Amino acid sequence: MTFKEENDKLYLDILDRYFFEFWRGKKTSDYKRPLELNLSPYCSLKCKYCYINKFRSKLFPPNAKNALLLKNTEILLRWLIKNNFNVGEIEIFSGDSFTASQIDELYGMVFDYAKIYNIDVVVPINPAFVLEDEKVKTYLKWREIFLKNDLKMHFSLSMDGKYADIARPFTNENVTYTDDFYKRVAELAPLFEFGFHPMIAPENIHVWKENIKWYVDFVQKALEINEERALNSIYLLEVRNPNWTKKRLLYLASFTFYLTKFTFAIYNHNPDLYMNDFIKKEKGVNYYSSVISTVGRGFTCSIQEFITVRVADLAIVPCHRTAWPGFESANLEVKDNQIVNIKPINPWIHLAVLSGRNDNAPFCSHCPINSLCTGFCLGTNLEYNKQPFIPVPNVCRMEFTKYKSIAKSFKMLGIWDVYESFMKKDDCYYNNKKLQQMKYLLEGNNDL
Amino acid sequence: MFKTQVLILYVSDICNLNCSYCIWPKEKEVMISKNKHIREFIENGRYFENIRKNVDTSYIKQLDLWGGEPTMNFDIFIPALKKHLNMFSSLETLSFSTNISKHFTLSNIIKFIEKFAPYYKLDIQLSLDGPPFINDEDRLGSSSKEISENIFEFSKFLQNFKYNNNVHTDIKSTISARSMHKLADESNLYDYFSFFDSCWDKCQTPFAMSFVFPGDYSQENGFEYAKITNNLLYKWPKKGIKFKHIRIPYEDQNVLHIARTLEAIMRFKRRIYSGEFIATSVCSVGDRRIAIDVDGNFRICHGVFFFYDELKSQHDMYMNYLKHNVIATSKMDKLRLLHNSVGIHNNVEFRIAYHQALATELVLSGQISRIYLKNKALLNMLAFVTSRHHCISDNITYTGDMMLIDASYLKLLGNGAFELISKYLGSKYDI
Repeated sequence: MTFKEENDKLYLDILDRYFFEFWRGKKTSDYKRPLELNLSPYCSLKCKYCYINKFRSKLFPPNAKNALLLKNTEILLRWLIKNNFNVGEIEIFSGDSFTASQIDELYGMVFDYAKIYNIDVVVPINPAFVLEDEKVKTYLKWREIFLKNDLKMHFSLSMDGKYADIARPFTNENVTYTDDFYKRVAELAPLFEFGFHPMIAPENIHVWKENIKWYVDFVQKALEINEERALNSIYLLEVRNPNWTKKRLLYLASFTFYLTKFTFAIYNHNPDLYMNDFIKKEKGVNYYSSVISTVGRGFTCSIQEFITVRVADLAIVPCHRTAWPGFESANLEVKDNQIVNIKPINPWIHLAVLSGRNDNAPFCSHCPINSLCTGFCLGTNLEYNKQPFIPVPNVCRMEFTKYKSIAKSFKMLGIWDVYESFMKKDDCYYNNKKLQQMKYLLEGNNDL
Repeated sequence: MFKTQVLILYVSDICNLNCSYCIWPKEKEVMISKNKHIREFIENGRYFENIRKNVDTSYIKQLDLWGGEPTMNFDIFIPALKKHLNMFSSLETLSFSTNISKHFTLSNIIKFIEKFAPYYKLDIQLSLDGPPFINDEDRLGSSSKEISENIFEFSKFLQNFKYNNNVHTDIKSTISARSMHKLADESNLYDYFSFFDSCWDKCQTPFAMSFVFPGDYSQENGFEYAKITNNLLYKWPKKGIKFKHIRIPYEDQNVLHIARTLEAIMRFKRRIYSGEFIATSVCSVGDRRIAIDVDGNFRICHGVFFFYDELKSQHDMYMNYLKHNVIATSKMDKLRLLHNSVGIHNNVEFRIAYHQALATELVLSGQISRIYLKNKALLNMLAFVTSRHHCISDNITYTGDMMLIDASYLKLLGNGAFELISKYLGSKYDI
């Protein structure tokens, strides 16, 4: 075999071992190896922090139009069926450029596949669709169909909240967020059983104190649940972009103190309850979880679980945010509307992504908070450092601020002692390391 | 103002040879127009102006001159450097590598030495791959005979040159996948060493055997390198094969590199992940060296001088985007480049993990020895050695990422050679 043939074989073997053997049912594991369909680059929102807004032309081929996306989705799903690949779960990752009839067509195809293998479908979605009754009806129709067939269809709602949505203007400048808009989202929330994942961004951090109050109240009323359950229905995510300026970091510090105070009050100022129920059991709105728990993956996002296919050109890419030119690991070659071959392009990045860890990367390996840190986003690194495995310093500052503020707020509110004994209870390497790093943040001379 | 001890300059975009293993693009029109631009900036002094604007020149101890073939533009570079020498107040050393393949190249080298050797140390690397069956088939456009004659003439010149103590030269032989195949034959390997042994007789210049990296080595090349290693480390010493000047067992680039790593492990075993030892061992990117082109852009090293916008034909897949990875124009971008360089230089853990994974995948794919699945210590050692021995510009050219090597080097070492070298060095260093 030539060097090139050997490399091609190597990557096909890797795909086989990491994904296809699980999809064929030859191997099993505790976690899924889902497929992410990376569909349209176009959206009805133009979020200020959105990477696609800034790098659309790098991430998608120019012909990524709806008709082609639907055609390629069909080709891809047919190929999965032909190979008897059960991908376990499909995530439909997209802007919302599709019309109601196109949504109908897309979900029809996905349903036909999901029915054969009895799999779940996850749909991260922005709330703009609530303004279009046809789209609402179509989504609800498919949700019903999935449910009737004992299949799950999860809608994860990307809505930042009444105050924080200032960072997410509509593409159509004539459309604005109104009380009626949120009222409509609230009406639909129980029907869709939304999960909520608002973003804490540099562009909206200054309003997040009001926003978290509003959000919990909103979820409480929309789903008619108590405050504690409403709080725990929210999954906070920090935007790991480099525009965390010093001023914005001070807002983040202030918000973190507020959030600890706010959530501690919901748990009746009871440190034991707060630590065991809120942070351990409920994962602390995803904001506090890593002060006690460790993610069982090398990178903290789901990049190592998924296989992502950019549908426009049927390229296998590391993830939706790292799908830059040169980073495609393979192309699914099509002939007569059928996938006939997997052509490896750049397998090395994919292997590094599958085998890498946040905490052994440059700078991270010697970082004093590397066991607490949420970890870098490979996409952000690529966009600003032009190197996916080296963190952007401002993102590091953001992580530092967040965890320092958490440590100080624990101390200030009387949670620290419980936290310390909680970590000492299970005397293991990771707990000791996390505790030591929290102590460093609390006591060290390390202000911003 | 950026401080660096070693500054790498790009003094020529053209080369009179067309070596088969050279990854630099060979689009003649582009090379000529680019070289015209370089000559213009050297002649009118703007190259030096751009250096002054971007780098603290009082800090520079060494200038490395690269191309193309750097001597091709020495007619204008020598007077220009002479004119601007004052700005390099701490300068101690000048270095370049040349193919010394034609007589005009030799004349240019001698002119350079006459001008600068009285004041500075000169490090000159002479490229000669070996006897005709190695050199002439890889270094297209040159002949082993002519290069040897030029080297002998050069040696004679140095013997009579007043400041010859300031001039250090060595011969570098580069082995490609093709020549690896030839050297796997024992009689060819013998001819190869005999050739350099007789060279020594005439020029007293040491030679080093090095390898094209990453080099597109297949598993077959790995088996061939194992045969070469076996001959050099075990078979020939047993047979009593000797040369007049070259010592057998001959320690080639890999053996020396692995020996250095093993030695370092022994010496610094408690400090493996700290201090200087974490750094990459063969590449000084991020440590004390930066490259600057005539326009004042920083490049991560000399290996990426050939990335430029007009590039169309070679490695198109990566270049369009990735060339911007390793070139910096604005001040912020230069900071980014230095940030990445330092990050990569001071980290080995990420690369070790990647190399462990890659080596494991290669075993499972049947491309390197299965011993690495059974013997984890050997796998870790292999990953450790290869992760310290990498070339950033080759990495980015082949894998699109500065930190990731392709499978080539692991296949070269992982099919017998590394086991033989480890065993040999293990007994030598009492490990």
